Amino acid sequence: MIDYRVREDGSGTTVAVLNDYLTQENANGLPAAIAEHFTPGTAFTLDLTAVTFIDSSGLGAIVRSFKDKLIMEGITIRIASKQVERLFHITKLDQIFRIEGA
Amino acid sequence: MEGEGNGAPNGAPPTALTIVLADDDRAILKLLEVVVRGMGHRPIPVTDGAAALRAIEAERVDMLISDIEMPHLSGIDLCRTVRDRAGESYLFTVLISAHDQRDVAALLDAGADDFITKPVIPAHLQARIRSGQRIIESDRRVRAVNRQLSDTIAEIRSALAHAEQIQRLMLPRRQEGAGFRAYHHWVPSQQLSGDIMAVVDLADDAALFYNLDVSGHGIRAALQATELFHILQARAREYLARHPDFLLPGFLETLNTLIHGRDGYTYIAGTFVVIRPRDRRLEIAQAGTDALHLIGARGDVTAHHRPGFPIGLFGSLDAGSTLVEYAPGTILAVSSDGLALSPDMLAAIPRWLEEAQSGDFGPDPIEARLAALAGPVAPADDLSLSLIVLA
Repeated sequence: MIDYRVREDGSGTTVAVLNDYLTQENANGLPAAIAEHFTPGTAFTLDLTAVTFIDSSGLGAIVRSFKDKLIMEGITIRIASKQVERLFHITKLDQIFRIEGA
Repeated sequence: MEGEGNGAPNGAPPTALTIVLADDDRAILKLLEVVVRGMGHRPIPVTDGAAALRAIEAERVDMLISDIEMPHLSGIDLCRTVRDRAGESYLFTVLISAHDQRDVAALLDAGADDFITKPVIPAHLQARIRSGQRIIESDRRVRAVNRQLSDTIAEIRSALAHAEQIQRLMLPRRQEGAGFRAYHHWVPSQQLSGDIMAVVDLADDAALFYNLDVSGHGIRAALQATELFHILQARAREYLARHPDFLLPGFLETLNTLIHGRDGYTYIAGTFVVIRPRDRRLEIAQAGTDALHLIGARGDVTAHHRPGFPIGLFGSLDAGSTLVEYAPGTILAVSSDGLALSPDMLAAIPRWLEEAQSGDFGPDPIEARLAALAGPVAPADDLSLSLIVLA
C-alpha cells in the first residue's frame, strides 16, 4: 500500500506527500493515487522529502503517473534524500521535472 | 432448533465437531452428551481430567467442555496442559464452574475460552457451543489460507531459484577478444533483479560491452533480462550491418524504440561501451547509471559520469556518447546500480583480478567478495561487476 496524503498549499497547488519508500512493493499504486488528485495543466507538487529510497519500479511509476514529458515539465518534485537526488540526476529526470531541495 | 445458527458463514453447511466432555458427575455428563449429540456433534464423554487429556491426544478434538473439579486432573490444570501443547488446530475450551463467576479470572487465565456455571442450562450450553464453533471455523479458514500462502511462497521461491540457474547459465563469466579479456561477476538479489552483462563481437576487432539492469524484480524481470540478452546480440549485428561505423547513440535509439511502450513498465538502466582496440579508444554511453571507472596500469582511477535517460522510459532517448582513449593495461570496471564501488574497492580490483585469474573456473573469489558485501542474506538488488582488461 502506498503511504501518501494530499493537501492544498494555499496558493492553489496540490501537494501529494509520499512517505518512507517507493519500490516494487507499493509503486504500482502511485499512478492511480496521483490520477485521483491531479489534473494536467494545474499546479502539482510531488513531495518526496520523506522518501528515503526509490528503486527502478518506483522511478518508472513516477514517470507513468504523468505520462508525457510536457506534463512532467510542469510538475515540481521535492527531494531530500541523497539516494533519490542521485537517481533523478543520473537518469536525467532532474532535467525534466522541476526539482526542489528540502 | 438444534444446530441452527451455528456460525457457519454464508449458509455453508455446519461442520460436526468432535467435543470431549469431562465431568465426574455422571448425571451432568449425560446431560452434556445429550445436548452435544442433539446439535449434531460427536461427543466423547469421560469422567476425569486424565482421561480427557488422553482423548485429546488420541485424535483431533475441536472442543473441550470440562468441569473444574474432577479427580486426578482438575479442569483448570487440564486446560493449562492442553494450552501448553498447542496442536495444529485450535481447541476451544469451555469450563464448567460450580461457583457463580467468582473464579472467572482463574478460568480465563488458565486458557479457557468460555465458562458456564452450574446448574447447566441446555440453551446456555448450546449458545456457547455455537460461539465456539464460529471461532473454530474461523481458525480453520485462517489456517487453510496460511497453508495456501506457504505453498505459493514455496512455489515462487522454487521458480526464482530455477530462473536464477537459467540466468547464471546464460550469462558469460569470462570472454576474450582481440584486445580485451572480460570477467563478469553476478550476485543475484533475493527476488532476481534482471542484471545482464556481456561482450558482443562487432567488426574490425571492435566489440560492444554492456552491463544492464532491467527495471523491476522477480520472474518478470528475469524473463525480460533473458529475452533482452538474446535480442541484444541479434540487434547489435543487425545494426552493424546497416551502420558499419556502429555509433552508440544511433544503436541506443533503436533499442529505445524497441522497448518503449512495450508493456508500459519495462525500461533498462545501464552502461554501453564500444571497445575499439585498433584505435585504443572506447565509446561510452550511460543510460541512467553512473557506475563506470577506468583503472590505469599505475592504479589511477577515473570515474565516467554522464547522465542519460534510461532506455525505454521515454519515446525519445536523446542519447549521447563520450570517446575516451586508453593505455594498455587499463581496466574498465562497470558495476550495476546496486553496487557502489568505494575507492578502496577500486584500488583493490587489480589484485582481485590476479587472484581470480589464478583460480581457473572454480568458485569466483570476486563474487564471494560481492556476496560478503551484502551480508548474510541475499542483497536487495542484483550486484554485478564486469571487469575488462584492455590490451
